Amino acid sequence: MRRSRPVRTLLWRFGAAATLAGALSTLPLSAWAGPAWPRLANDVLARPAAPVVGEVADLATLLPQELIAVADAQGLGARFHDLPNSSLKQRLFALPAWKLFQKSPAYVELLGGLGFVELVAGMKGHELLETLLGEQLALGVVAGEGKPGLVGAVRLPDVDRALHVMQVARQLLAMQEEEPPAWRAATCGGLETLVVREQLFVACHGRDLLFASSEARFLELATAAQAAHALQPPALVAAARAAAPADALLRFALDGPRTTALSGKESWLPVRQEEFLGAALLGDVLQLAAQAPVVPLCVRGDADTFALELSLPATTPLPAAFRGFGHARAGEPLALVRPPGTLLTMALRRDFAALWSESGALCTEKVGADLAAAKANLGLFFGGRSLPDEVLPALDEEVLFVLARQTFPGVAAPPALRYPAGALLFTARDDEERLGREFGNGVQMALALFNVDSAQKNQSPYELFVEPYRGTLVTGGRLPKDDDRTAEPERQNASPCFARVGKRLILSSTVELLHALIDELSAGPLGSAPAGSLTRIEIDGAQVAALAHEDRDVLLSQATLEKGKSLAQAELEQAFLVDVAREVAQLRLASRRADGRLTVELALELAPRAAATGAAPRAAAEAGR
Amino acid sequence: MNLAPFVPGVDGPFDAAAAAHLLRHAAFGSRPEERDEAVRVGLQATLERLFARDEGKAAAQLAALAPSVAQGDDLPRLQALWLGRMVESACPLVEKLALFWHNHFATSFTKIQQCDWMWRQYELFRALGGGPFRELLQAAARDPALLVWLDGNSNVKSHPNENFARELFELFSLGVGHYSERDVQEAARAFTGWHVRDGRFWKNERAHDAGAKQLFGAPVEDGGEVVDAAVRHPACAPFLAGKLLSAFVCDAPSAAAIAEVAAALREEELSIERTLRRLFGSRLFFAAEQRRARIAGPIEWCVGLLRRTRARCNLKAVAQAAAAMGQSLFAPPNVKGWEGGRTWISSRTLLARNRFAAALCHGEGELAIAVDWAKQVGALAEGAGLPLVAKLEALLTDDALEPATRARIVAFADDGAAAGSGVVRVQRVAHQLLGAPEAQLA
Repeated sequence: MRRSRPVRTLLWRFGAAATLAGALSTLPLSAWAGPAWPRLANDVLARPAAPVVGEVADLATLLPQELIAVADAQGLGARFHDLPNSSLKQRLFALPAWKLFQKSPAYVELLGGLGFVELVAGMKGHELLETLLGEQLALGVVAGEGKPGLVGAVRLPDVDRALHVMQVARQLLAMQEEEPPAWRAATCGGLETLVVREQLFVACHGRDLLFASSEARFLELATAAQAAHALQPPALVAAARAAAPADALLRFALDGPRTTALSGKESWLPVRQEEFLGAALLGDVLQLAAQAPVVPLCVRGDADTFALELSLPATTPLPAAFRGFGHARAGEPLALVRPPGTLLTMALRRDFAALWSESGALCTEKVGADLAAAKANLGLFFGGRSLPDEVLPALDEEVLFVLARQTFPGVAAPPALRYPAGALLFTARDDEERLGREFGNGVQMALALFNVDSAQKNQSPYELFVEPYRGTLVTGGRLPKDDDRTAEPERQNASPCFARVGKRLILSSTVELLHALIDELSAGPLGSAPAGSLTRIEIDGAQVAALAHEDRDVLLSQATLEKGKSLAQAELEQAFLVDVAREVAQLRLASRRADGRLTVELALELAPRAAATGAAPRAAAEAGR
Repeated sequence: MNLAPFVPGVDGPFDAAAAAHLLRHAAFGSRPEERDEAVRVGLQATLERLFARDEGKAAAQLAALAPSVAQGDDLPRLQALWLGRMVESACPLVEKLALFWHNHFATSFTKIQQCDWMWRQYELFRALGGGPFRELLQAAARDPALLVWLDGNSNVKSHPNENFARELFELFSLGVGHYSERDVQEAARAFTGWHVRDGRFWKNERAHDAGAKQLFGAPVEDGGEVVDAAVRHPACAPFLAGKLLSAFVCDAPSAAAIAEVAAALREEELSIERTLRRLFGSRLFFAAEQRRARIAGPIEWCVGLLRRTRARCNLKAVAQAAAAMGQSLFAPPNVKGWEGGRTWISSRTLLARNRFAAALCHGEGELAIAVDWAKQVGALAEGAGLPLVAKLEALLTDDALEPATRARIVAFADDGAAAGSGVVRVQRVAHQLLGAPEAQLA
């Protein structure tokens, strides 16, 4: 029976987070400096790494061939060498939310946990991370009995550090005071091995740390390491390396058929989605990933960018279910709209009529029933025309969507909860006049239905209007300014409307956004996504921060009244959200088709330092825009 | 038994039990250390503190969120905001008085559909609830929520609507039997044109009947004079006295107690605060028969437990739990408000109380209640049953348990197989305790 001990609690509660935070920390812990610092000794850490005779050049060659998944990295540890002086750390420490956090009890607890881990390890946090991530990292998941097993190796800079890490691990485990003990020493494959709860076997071989989740796997690993033959890495590692750019920090790959077999299902990924829009957005990616023999993923990054990249084979001919995803016209330009205050902009190359008709292959049966109901109901808004059979086929594959902050021009008392305005931009294939007229009628029909509902609740109705703006007729409705009745927050934030500009059909939740979009379309050609783009979604951090700042009171009340948080805690979290968002220049999800592959990228770009520093006044200025 | 001042040492001790009694009725209950402090500073100083109006930083910060919460029609959030203020307030009597007046002038969101109006009515009760009743009644008669609730906008010269006038006499000031149908009709005429426009009181002169009217045998002109006449009526003080006693002392006050408090009300010119000061410092209040003589209402019970345990939780869910127990804030069942007393307890509401107790003790469900039980009981978590039960009894019920109930719960706590160990044992014992009938009393 395990016994609870304060030391154990402290260590495991804060250990992992503390190690990471310690890497960033400049905390004035007295134990960090001077002769009292019981570290491994500066001379050991400062010793230059030397190659060790009898080791394989490529750690990945130690891994077995029958891998389900693999992670592979070179020189990852060195990335943390300069972390104490990095701009990332400086940014974090400059955040107002960090200053608030420093006054909280959680910070004191963090200091305690961090100091303990560093004291035992004899290294600062970033040194520990640098050491543990090593010069090379090769980690594989293999099929095991009942559950997948783990096998891997990390190459540390030198033998002394490898031995020290083993010693620290033994010390930490000894503090667990569990019964039976959490670990035992053994000799496996001729190596002095640390066996943790019979679930992890770890040993040093020279400067390499070898580990596996079973004794049999560990013996294979130890034997391969000691043989030191120049073997080829497993095919999965080779595939991960081939698919990733040279500057990738980490490379992953997953064996599709083996993973599917392990899952015991038809496919390891849910290829049929529960939501039609989810299927429309990511259906092609999920289907291709489910069919791919190898799914490679890599992590790229530098001081200002961090990105995950998935690269899948997408050779023609593609299945019929793919015809809605626009692959055939991937070479054509895809527009992007960015009116002032844009929080999110999305550009899709999708044929929604085709997606609707192929929904049986892309979605579950439930979605089919939902679409049938939608077809019956939405016909009301298009004068009896069928949405999937008559309206959607008349629309081009380029579909744009934008979310933008509102400024509520002319509104004396804007709603407490400010929702962003949203707009959808379709392009008519032809007969845009008829389509425009029918969309306008549809908006008026929807507003009339809203008004019936409002009347039943004794709430303000929308006043319908048709008015010109820059030579375009805008059809919509807005709440009267002098009504003693109120409306739900959603309606206070909305003035639904429609306009047609040439072939562009614009449905907007507010007149303000619609006017901004008409301005942008009138100003000249829209911006465009990179060549080959099928999907591009961009989120602007500064605008998100400004919106969170505007909705501060509402977010605080939600946190305090519905989540049971204290106001101080809620304020800290809200400040953190705003601060972090300000530091983000852009969060992006994009898919591109080129050279017979579909590449999906999730990227985070940090704001330029000067811009981030000046984000507070900028956000304030935006708030008053 | 009378309203003469309770003199500690002469009329009985002002000990922890007496302090707990006072704090249960004039506040939402207390933690043991708060009772100790009350005993230390004495009765008069404790009364001074109870009538202070500084609600503290946490409650004030919550109240500052009201403009955003009260906008729109999200009733559960509005309920949560008031609940949060009750839980955090350093002057709980202000909130308890507001709750009393909310029940007195029972107005429901179900008809008003405006959070903002309901919140403004609540703020009115907070601001004037302790003052002279005349001022409160005059302000309430002009409150938009109350006017709309009682069809004030339909009350016009050509078709006087008697709803407001009738409830003014029956429910707000005199009680049944102290006015005639003729008085109601005349008062309704006086209130014609008392309307609401743009969310504010508006005297619509065109709809007002300016003709001569007689009320209780004297001429009146408009609604303001009707309110004054009602407040001057001899039945007003006893009516209010009965309501105050039911809410702050016992479920079934005696005729003698009502007469005593009514006399005090008259002496204090119907000042609620001055009367309550006398009541809370009186022999009548501290008499043995008044202890545990009232069933705690759902809001009072939930707020009391959250304050005692210093719990953090989803207040919206707590508001819904209280509604399941029979008390939905801002939504009383009808113009008479919640009847209270024994009607708080039924098989359905008792089950809801048990669900709340389970959530409080075990942290289960949507309420997401977080109580640091280990901190509440310290080392007693691992010891014998009796000290643990005693500690929890003091914390949760002010030592309310009957000996037989206590013995049953101690036996449970000592039964390792049933109660478990460590924090789980503390939670289970606390749950047992809150299920006891004694834990439902105030």
